[in-house]
Amino acid sequence: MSARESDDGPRKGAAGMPEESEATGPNATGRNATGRDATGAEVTGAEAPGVEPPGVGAAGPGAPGRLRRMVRGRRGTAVVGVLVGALLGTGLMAWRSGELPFVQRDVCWSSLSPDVAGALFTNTDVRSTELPLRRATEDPMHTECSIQAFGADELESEVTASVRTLGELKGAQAWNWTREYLSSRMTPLGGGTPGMASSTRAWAALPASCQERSYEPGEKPPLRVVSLASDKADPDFQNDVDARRGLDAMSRAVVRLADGVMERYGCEGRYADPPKLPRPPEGQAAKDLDADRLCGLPGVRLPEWARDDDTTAVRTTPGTSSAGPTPGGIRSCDVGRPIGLQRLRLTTVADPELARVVSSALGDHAEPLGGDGEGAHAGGLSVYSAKCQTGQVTFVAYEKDAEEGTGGKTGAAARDHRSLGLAVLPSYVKSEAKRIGCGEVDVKVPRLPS
Amino acid sequence: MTAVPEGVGANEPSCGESRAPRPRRRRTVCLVLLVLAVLGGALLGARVTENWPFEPRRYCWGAWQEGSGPDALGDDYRRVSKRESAPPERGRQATCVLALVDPGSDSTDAADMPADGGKTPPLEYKRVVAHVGPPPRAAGERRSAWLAAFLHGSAAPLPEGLPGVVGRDRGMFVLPRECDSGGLPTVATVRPAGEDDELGSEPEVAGLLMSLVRTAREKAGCAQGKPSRITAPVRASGPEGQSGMGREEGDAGLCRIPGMRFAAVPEGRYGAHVGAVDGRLQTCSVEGRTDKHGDLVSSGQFVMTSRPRLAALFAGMRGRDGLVEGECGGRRTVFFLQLDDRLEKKATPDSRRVFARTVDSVAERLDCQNVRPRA
Repeated sequence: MSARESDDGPRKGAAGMPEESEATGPNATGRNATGRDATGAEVTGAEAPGVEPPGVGAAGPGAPGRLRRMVRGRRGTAVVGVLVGALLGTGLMAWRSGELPFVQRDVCWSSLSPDVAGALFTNTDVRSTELPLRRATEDPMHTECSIQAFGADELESEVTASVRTLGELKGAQAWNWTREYLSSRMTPLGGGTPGMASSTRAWAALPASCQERSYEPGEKPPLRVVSLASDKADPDFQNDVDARRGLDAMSRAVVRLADGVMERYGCEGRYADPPKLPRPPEGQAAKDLDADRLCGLPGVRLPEWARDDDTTAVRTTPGTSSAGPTPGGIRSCDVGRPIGLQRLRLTTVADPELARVVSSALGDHAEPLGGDGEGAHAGGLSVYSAKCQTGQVTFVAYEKDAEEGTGGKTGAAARDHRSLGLAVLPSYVKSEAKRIGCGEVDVKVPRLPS
Repeated sequence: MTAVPEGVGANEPSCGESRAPRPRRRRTVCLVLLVLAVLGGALLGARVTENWPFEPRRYCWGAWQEGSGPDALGDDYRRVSKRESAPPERGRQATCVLALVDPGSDSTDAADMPADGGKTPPLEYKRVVAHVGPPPRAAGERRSAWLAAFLHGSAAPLPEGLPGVVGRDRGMFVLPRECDSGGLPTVATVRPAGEDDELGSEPEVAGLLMSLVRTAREKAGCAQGKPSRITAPVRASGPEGQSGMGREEGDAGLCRIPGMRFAAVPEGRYGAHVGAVDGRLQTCSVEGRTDKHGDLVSSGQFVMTSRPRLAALFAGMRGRDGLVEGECGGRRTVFFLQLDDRLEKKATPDSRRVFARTVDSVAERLDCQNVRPRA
């Protein structure tokens, strides 16, 4: 108590030094007889104000006192205050911009939490980079976020998330998306959430009522989807463990991605996490083909000339049946060898907006198809649309090997090449049209050489 | 011990400075005074600007509260209650009319007297008519007209299988079974009135409707069970997301239903709003006739539903033409068609055949059995 009284000299009421006015208190502890008064003038010996005594941590009865003195001097307090303020400010800005190091944050426009993103990989070192979300609306193509998993600082695998204005895709881009994201490996998310997922691809449509900007009534916002992609869209084979884990992780992540974008856009409503989805059989477990009831559809037969060793197995969209409406409206069927299933794909797209995108896959150079609806064919791809109760429905028959138009053959053999897609399309469309409620839909295909 | 303010005044020129004895206490006292002053000012200001935070005004039996509440009512306009009947009760009709007026005008509730002595009426931006009660009991014209208005094809079904529809200009929700009376469900509806013919976007109308539903359930005594809440996104009306503009014309049949063909109808004469087309609900409203104001009038309606609460809207309509039941996907399903006189005359060979063909087309996509007229 007595040691402090000498400090209570004339003062200017500096607010920064409340401690020095204390007659008692912890600040007095450990102090020796030396001290500073309000003006910072030396009261003890050789110390200059503001100079850190050398070896400030060194032993010696004066050392802690010196540091404390410095810190508690008016100038010292100011310096400390500035330092603390700067640190706080930097930390705050870092936290706001999500750049805080050593802290795990939500990736891809803050939509995927660390455990949801982490579940997409087996490695634990997961990093991400992203483009701004608004590019999805400014740039009619898309915006992307890349999530990468590193093992020993080397890139091991990558999942790309994107937000895409699907409604504006046409031609080859529309077909590429359709081929990748509407294969028979994709399972509908269910629960009223529009979208599908497999262990390597997933997509979910954003609701039309949720956009970055508002649209006038009558002005129609284009369809936007969020999607995730890893590795190949249709790997030849995946082991059961990876396939199960992948499907669970992708389906949950794509729904969270959609919810995150909706949150960014300020929309009400969130999709619920999907249930455990049925997955397609892998490899040799593929179902045997029924050549008289292709894809389980009555009246759809595989032509005699196409029944060979390349066409023995079939895979249809998991969780759907060949009767009654399909939730989500998309049903796909791949036919071929058990490993690969590359001979023929038949797809029905009963969601009106997607149907429109798919129907734009072929350009003006394609050969038109007649009948009750409208369509065209080119290379191995045939696309046919009809007006049904749900709106526009588009049917696709795709023969991968026939992409060159001749199945790789030349000359007379090329002219003789028969298109399996065109052969099956009319009965496929007829059967599916009945199932969906389009009434009778006849497709006129060009006469095939026999 | 002297009173603190005196002490402060006597010994020190301002609260910022402190002098000898217990300046910390003085500072504390000054701080407390400051806080009290701020609070007092705030309370005074709140009183004056009527933002009194402790008693917000409530409207429509408490569903909508001044200063908060559904987006459709917004923050920019003052709420004025135009009419509020007794609260909803099983079997009884309850109505509430709420107007949103320009905050600059001085209209007071129910009095509706312009402040400047009758020179300018308050500027009304929007008027919401909320109604809770059973649909018209008699199974004739009044019920048909009610169904045409509230299961309209311009309204989209609510998500998560909830029994209701919302459009930009209407919303309808069927309350749980516990609120049924005399075999009919209690229904909550919202519609605009007055100049504006829109309530808001579909998500906004859904928010308005569901807040009304929650209050109605409490008042009418069916609040037990799952709360009426929407978490999933609300769809825009029209299957293609076009709000109210999903007019389709059919050479494939009206409402895009192949069987719904009228041989004598000139093409383009009638148009249809197709609402829902899914496994449990299908709605379509046909318009073609204009009334004396030139507005389009409903000429016909088709509904299919296997949702029990929506099917309950057709209760008591037994024996009527244009109504059949069946089993589709393992569920009891109702099919309903009504046509006005003009459209009925154009049906070939007659409206019964048109109805049968329509039901066949729809049943084909639903995997139905045993579709037959009600006994």
